[in-house]
Amino acid sequence: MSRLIVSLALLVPANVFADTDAVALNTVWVLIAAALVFFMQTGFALLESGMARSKNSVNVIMKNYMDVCLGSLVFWAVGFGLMFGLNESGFLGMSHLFPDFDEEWPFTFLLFQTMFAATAATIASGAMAERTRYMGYLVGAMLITGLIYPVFGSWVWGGFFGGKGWLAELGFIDFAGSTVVHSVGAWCALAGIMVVGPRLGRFDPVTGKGRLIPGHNLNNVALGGFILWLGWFGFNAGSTLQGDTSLGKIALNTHLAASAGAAGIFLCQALLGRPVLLTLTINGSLGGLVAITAGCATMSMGHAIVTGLIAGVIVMLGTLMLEMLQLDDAVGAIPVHGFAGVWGTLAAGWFLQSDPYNLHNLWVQAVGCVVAFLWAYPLALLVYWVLEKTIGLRASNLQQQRGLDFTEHHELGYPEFDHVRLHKPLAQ
Amino acid sequence: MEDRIRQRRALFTVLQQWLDEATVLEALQIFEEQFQGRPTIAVHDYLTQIAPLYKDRVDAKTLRRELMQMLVRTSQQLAPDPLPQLEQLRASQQAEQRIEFNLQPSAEQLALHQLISAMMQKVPLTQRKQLHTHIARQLKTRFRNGSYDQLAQYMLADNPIYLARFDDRSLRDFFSLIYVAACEVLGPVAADQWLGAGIAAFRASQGAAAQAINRYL
Repeated sequence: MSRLIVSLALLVPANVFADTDAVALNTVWVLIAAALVFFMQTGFALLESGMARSKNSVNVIMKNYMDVCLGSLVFWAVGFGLMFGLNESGFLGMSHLFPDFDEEWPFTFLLFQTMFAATAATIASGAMAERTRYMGYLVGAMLITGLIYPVFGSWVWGGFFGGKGWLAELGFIDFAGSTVVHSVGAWCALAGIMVVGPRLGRFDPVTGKGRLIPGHNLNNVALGGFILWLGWFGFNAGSTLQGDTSLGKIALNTHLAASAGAAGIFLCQALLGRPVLLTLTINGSLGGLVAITAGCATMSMGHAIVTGLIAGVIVMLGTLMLEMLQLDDAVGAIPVHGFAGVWGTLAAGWFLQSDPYNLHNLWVQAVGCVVAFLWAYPLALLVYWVLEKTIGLRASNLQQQRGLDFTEHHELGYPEFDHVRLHKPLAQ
Repeated sequence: MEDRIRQRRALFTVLQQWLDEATVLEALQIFEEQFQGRPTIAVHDYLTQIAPLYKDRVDAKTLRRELMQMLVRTSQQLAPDPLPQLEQLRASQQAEQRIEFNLQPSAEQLALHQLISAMMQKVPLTQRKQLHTHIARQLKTRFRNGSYDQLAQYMLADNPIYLARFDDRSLRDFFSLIYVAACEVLGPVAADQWLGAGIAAFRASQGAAAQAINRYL
């Protein structure tokens, strides 16, 4: 008996230490993942500014920078509560506005989710680049992080403090946010580019054909692509919210899908007899990353490769389709985040490792995709339309001629190469 | 003659419901100059031509219906003949033109002219024609009250005298319209290159005097 008591006495502290170690490990892992997701903003900034003309590069960087800053504040104030607060109805979180916590884990969770919200907002900045006013854009980004993204997020991921989102109840699978983060961001971007219109001369006024506006620094584009790829390991593997043994598979699936995405778009370009463009190749890999985001934890490696490969093809076709429709997406954000996001979400249901090729799963996934579009797109359209009519969203012709670096920020990204020096008093 | 007066009065009666007096007179002036002497008013053509004057306030369909109704009304139901106001306007315009004729372009305007002239020379002939068409289209949307004609004439005549009556802001808008037209015709990348190279060459050739164009860029 006494031996048993001694054994129990020894056992209890051991368990306590084990639990404490696990919590600490989870916290450290999720913080590292949050930092990686934060680093993705660098990737977005480099990729988007590299794809813009040099006269707009500072403006693009500034939008990405302020997306994180303002988005974080707005998400902390209202977004987090709407998304993860007590969600009894399944439609909206109703607690933890301006949150503070007694326990320690929610701090880590909030930080990680804040980085996700900033990612959703920043998708629109690339699509709307080079002709969107700074102030109008930022107000739009705040509404995305404070309302559009968290409300839809509550339907899928809601209920951190109790309850469950109605789409999650249906069985909708979106592990790290192909739809919740990427498609929602892309539908907002689609609304944005429809309201703001194309860049000057982007489409031939007679034939309607698109004209290529090459970015000013493709090295930055490539660097941005690599950084996004790196950050995505945190984005997907961090979504486990715990440092466990499943991380390896998730990270590997992520990597394989990105590689397959690049291969898919490379094949597509080669088969169509088109030049193999760096920008499209990088977008292909990003499409693979977006697509695998929903099912990275629940898919086999083979399916991850198929998902990525098809995502690459979809990015290529989506880019051509937008051009045919005369929609000017400056960086290809909508095919990458929107179309590939939809495909990835469907693939997550269709290739579900525990129950593959189940039509019911596919149906639920399709419902989730349609709901995301029906929620995000019309609301963003309204938001951007109101912004255009009130504070102004589209930059004037003169502002586009001068470049948004000068007209919005009064500084130039590359002053030593500036041939069109401007007369500042009139510009104010 | 009687028909012409009736038509003018009918137009005046209808247009003054939506437009201010200056705009109504501008519309009537177009009627007097281009549609007088026709057996009946070419309503559709006329309304199409003056559309920029009213399109923000009333749609063409309503205006056409009102005008057709007004044309069959009795003389007592129409507003008085606006001929005296029209003659007054014409006289003031002629006086203004006399003053304008004596206006000389400033050094900055001359510099802008040299820049535009040099840049247009660099565009291949076929594209230059397209560019002129697009600039004219852009000018129509932005400039009114005779400014459009002045700038259109400037593009055709390549004579800086036509720039003399415009202030810096208007000329900056004008230069911006040329850029927009270049984006449409040449494409945005070529337009940026065209603009950048044109300005760089101008600066290189003019030295310190080239700073005069800064206000228009």
